[in-house]
Amino acid sequence: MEQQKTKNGFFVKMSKGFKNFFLKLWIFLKTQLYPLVCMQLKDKMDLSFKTRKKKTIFKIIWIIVGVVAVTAVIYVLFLLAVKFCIFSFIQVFNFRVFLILMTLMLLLSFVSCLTNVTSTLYFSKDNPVLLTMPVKNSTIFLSKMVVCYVYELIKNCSFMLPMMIAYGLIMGLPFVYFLWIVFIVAFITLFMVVLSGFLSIPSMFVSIAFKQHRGLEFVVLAAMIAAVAYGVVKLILAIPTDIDLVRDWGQIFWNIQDFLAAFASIFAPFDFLIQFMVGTSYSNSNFIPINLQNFVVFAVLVGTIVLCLVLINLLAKPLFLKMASTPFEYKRKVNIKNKKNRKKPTFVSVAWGETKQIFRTSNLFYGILAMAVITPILILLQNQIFASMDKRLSGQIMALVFNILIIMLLMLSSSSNFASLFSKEGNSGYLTKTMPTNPAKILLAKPIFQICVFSISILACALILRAYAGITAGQATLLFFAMFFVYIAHACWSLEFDLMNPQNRLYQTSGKQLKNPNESKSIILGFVVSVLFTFVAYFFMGENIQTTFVKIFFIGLLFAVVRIMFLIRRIKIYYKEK
Amino acid sequence: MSKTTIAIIVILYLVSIFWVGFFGLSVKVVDKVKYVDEITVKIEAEKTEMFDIFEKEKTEPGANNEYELQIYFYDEHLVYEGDKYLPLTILPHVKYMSGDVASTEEKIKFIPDDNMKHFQESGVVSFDRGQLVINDPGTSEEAELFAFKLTISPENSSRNGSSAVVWITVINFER
Repeated sequence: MEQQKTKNGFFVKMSKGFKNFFLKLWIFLKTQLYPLVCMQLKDKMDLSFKTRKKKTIFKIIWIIVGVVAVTAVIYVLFLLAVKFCIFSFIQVFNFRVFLILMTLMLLLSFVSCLTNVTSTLYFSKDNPVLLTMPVKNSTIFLSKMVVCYVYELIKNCSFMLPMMIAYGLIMGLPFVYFLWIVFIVAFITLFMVVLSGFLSIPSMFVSIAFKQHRGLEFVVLAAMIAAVAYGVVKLILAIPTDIDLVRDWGQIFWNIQDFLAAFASIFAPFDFLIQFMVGTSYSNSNFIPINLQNFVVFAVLVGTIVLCLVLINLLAKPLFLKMASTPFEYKRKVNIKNKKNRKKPTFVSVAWGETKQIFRTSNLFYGILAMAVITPILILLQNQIFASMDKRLSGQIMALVFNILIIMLLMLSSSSNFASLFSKEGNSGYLTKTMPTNPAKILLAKPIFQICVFSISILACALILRAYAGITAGQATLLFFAMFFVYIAHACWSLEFDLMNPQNRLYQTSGKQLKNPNESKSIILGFVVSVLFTFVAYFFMGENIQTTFVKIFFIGLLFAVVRIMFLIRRIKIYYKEK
Repeated sequence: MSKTTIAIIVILYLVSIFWVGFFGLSVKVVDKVKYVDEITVKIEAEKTEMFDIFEKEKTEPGANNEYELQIYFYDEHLVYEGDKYLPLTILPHVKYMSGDVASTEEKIKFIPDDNMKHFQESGVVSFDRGQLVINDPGTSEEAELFAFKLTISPENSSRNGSSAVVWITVINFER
């Protein structure tokens, strides 16, 4: 009897203990973690739709439509590959193709996740604010990790999930598969976030090293950009100019098979991972998610998650708290050296100052650099494709004209930021008026760095056209100047938009403005000017191709001179002393 | 640059390639009757041990080129992609007297004999655009060794002896 009583008492105590534990956990989740996570998510995502029921329903429907649309597009592509037996002899979707797509997606997703986790944990500006909250520091750290997880999960549901659904549909996999992949996407996201949490430590040190030594950052990034550009150019040049898919299909098919087999062998760990994720393999198209191999993969993933969590708790959490509470320790060391003040002309001085500012604003600098590198690469690819076509004379003219159109569109669209160049300075922009010098010298010096970079890009494009389009060196030179002058004209026009309708106040109050009417106008103008210029070139080429380049050179020159004159005139009027 | 701007430029970029490819290509006037100089056949497969090909001696000048293709349906040669099968590609190469060459499906006809048609209907053999797939023929006695003939003939050719004949034997002794 007594034994029974003791037993019952033990169970009652245990159940009370469990109850208390879950109650405390529930209170912790509801009152501490949930508000913290929601607060941070609001900064990362637009959650305004939650306030209204109609908006919420609309948002949900919109998300579903988006996922369905992405799935449908991927499914159609898969279906075409199956129907035309592009990757397989039989009408089955080759698992190795899916392996390549998923491997690329996982790698890109992981890089993005690592960047996101590193910036959220160590470089987020809300860290000092969050530390003042009446919660434990470990709760703040946990909330940061949960925020990263939710963010990554949404991203993976937008691309990875539709691809896996499309794969299931094309392979005719059972309904259980579609439930399985929901669990898998959530699990893989957890794996990526936890692994990123651990790897964020070295990633943070690299970021700090870059922040402290900007020169090192530029050297590394320049080397990376040069390597990638070199690789891409090599690949483009490797495209055979005499390619006939129908004629050479027998040979090409086997080359594809060799590539697929080599990829599967080099990326064998991903092969095992994807097999676990979708429950099928190259040799087995039946859905079998539970077998010894998949169990081992699952065990390795769980083991890695547990190990990373332990390491995060030991290393990343204390580091996060240190970074959040004492951010100044990691700030850049500024070694101020006294230099002799040299008097420079106003124009040079302002241009140099603006250039330094662009170098210090990473987003702007990399944006300009990326555009300047991508444009010639795209033109090279376009010309390599055109070169593989046996064109008649009108085809050659069309190719040249389309080249001009694409160069102009890319260049003029990227110069739309000139339409907010002066306004971005906020209220300090008005200081220009107080300077005892010609305001035109100050204002016209501001866009000079970007103009120089893009003129190099236009020059590279002209050299490519010289090599591919069968034009002489003189014609290529005239074409370069024609495009450059149009670019200058558009830049001046955009600056004029900003001058005549300044948005300084908005930039002063909001820091940045999402929709600047001047930028929108500049983009539309860029499209119109590009199309018109291309049309004029095409019209002249139809008449006499020899004189076309001279004509468009003078048209470009005239256009640039007129716009520069207009801009200077507006500056004089606007900055006139009253 | 906004997403819309990028999307428009990408679309225009693709349109430009299709436009030049569609409207800018040179037009050729060709003689419908083409005189075949020689037609040869090559086999492409994952492993060279999967098959042997021999060219038969010509019985008379100007006769068709004849080949004997032996395919070894052995376990180590099979591809396990959903089902087990053995794939290989028959690559014909036609040289015309004009100097043109062709190896495309649109310009070359593949004519199976009755035996091959029978195997195609039963699902043992599938053939499309030069790609030959031998599926699992089973374990019956007649599945150990079977043969069929494929005639490869260029379209618009004008004379006899301008075809290639491939005598295909599938050896399945391991089954």
